[in-house]
Amino acid sequence: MIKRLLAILTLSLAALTLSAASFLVGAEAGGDLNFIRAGKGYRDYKYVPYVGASLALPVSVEFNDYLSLDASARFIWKNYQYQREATQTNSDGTTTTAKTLDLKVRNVYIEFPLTINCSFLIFRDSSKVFVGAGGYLGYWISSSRKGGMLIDDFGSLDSVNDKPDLSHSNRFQYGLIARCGYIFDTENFRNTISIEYDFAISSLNKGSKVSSFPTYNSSITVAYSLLWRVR
Amino acid sequence: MKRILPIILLIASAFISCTANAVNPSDIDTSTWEGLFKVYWNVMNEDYVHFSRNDISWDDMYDEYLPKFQALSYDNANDSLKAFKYFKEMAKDITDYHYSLSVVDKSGVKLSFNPALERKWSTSTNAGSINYFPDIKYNDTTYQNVNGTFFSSADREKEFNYIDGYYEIKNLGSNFHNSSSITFEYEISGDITKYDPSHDNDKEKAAWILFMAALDDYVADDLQFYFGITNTNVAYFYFSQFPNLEILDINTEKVKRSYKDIEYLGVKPYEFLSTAAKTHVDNFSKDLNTALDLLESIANTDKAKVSDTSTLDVKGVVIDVRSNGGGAVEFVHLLTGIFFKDGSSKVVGQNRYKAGYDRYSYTPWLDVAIEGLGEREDGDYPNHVAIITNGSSVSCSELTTLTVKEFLNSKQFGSTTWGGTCSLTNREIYQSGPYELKNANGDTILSIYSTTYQFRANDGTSYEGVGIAPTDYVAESSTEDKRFEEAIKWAAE
Repeated sequence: MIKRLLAILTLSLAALTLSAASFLVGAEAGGDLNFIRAGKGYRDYKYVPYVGASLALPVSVEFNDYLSLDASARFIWKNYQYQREATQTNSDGTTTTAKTLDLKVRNVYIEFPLTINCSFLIFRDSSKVFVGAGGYLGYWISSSRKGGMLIDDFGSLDSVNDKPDLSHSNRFQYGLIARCGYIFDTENFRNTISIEYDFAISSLNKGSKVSSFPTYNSSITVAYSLLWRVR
Repeated sequence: MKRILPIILLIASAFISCTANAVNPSDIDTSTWEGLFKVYWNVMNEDYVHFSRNDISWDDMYDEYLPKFQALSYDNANDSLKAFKYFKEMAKDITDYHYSLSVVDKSGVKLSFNPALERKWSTSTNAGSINYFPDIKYNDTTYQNVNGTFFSSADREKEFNYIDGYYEIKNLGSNFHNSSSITFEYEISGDITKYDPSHDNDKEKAAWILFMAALDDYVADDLQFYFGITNTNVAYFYFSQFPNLEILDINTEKVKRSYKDIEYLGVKPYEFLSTAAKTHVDNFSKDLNTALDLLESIANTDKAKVSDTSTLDVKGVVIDVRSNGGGAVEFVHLLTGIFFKDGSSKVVGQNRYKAGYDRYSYTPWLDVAIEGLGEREDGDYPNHVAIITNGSSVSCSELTTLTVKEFLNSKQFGSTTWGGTCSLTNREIYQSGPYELKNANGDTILSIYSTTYQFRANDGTSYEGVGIAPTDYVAESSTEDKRFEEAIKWAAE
């Protein structure tokens, strides 16, 4: 079923592209913040977003002055800080809360976003704002961590760098995109500043039935792109 | 546009429906076998730290056993037998060698199951000869009522004998005269907060229980140690387990603390002990302090003070951890750190902990380092340090064995250790560790005794379930303590 829908989608996009008025290619760079949502709640853990980056090779197909199709291949670093804050019951009945784990996690993905955008002129023919929506497919290339336990009952108070085993992780990622931005066109180039929200649908970890503890890595990206009008 | 967006949303909704919700243990009705099963399954699923070490299909376990537990009535004694059987089947392949599972039915009948022990029994020619945990008979018609099951000291002795652990200390030198022991006289059960030595009718019992609880039970359960110098000038130290250092009375410039001042539940239990009990504890603490001073003196100067005016030149050290059930990790750091030069750090392996509720979410591997406390100018203790082990040397005694073997001029005598190389502590802090579920009356109805972390040695080897093999295997003898003699002989060379 999904294969059939993807085939229909691909053919539809191909037909639209062939009928396009203009075609642009270029480069994009940006920064992002990531927000982990836990499907079952966070309980003793919390995620603190911190800045990542993205580098992309975008293409844009303009059908007319108002409608375009944007796609790209991008590397994106989705980083966050992962902490455990635990509460211990003391012998006198009081409780003590303390941070016990602190890990900075850096994840690298290759992603292929695809959005349909509607543009609106705001100044002459060169300045536009746009809104768009679409989806992305991605592959989780690697992950690295720095940090460790903040408590020491076993002689293991330490901070280390490591690359976690991703064999139990969902390397294949996908989600929905909502974006908006500002476009400034010159004769041969298009400058775009965009804000994009990627809503992850795929969990970071595998799991099935009741065992699943899904966590989703969504992100907000602010990017600048420069595209050359090929035709 | 109108045609594309619905397609994208349709694809998205198809993926969304693939995700599912786990069950939160706190939301489960635990007055049914189905509920107890779900709590057990979920606590294991979230917090059990060893799933990455073996290939138990915990998901399949859910599918297989949920309908079986759903078919059972919590009010039916025969169904209890089936429930106990199912729990044992689920836990039988657990490879945490500290692990035990206890389940209590509505009438108070209890299943206690230790998969590691069961595994060791099943591979022995004497399988079934020892009733370690008085247990349920699974013939669907009869069973023993086993309220309050826990092994007696007689059972324990038989167990050690059976697993290659019974020993006698013989042929000790004339200077070998120090020994000390402490016995925990009351079993802790139920809610410990009900004990109040200032009001309880049995003040002595309440004081003991709170005092021992304040020490994390590490000096409980017949803790014994012996130490002394043999007539071949070898220092010998035996510990049945490693006590919490809180039992020491320290009064130095840097550290001033005493077991007498320990508070628990708002009282100082020591103050409520009887005069005899205080003397018992005082002597134990004093003896332990003497033993540690002796070890420190030997490690730093090769000399042992045997009287106010004389010292002995000590050739080597024997540490005997046969049938040592583990205990306080901090004691291992002290005991082994004494041999290492101050300022040095010995990485004996790595730990990793759970770092999330996903089954395979772990922290990085973190070094376990023993910090040097010795005062020799020329480095670590250079002389022979023999360590004696047996099949019942577990947990912290295995960490001690690894440390001594890797970093000292050492040999391991005896036989391979148990293979429970990880340890455990408060699950509130570390996520993994012992778990207890109580019913409305405050009685424990489900108990999972499990470790807090995974441990691996520096070469990446996990000794969990394997044990640490001796450098010099010495068979047991029914007439003499060959292991002791071999170790003493080598240490004197």
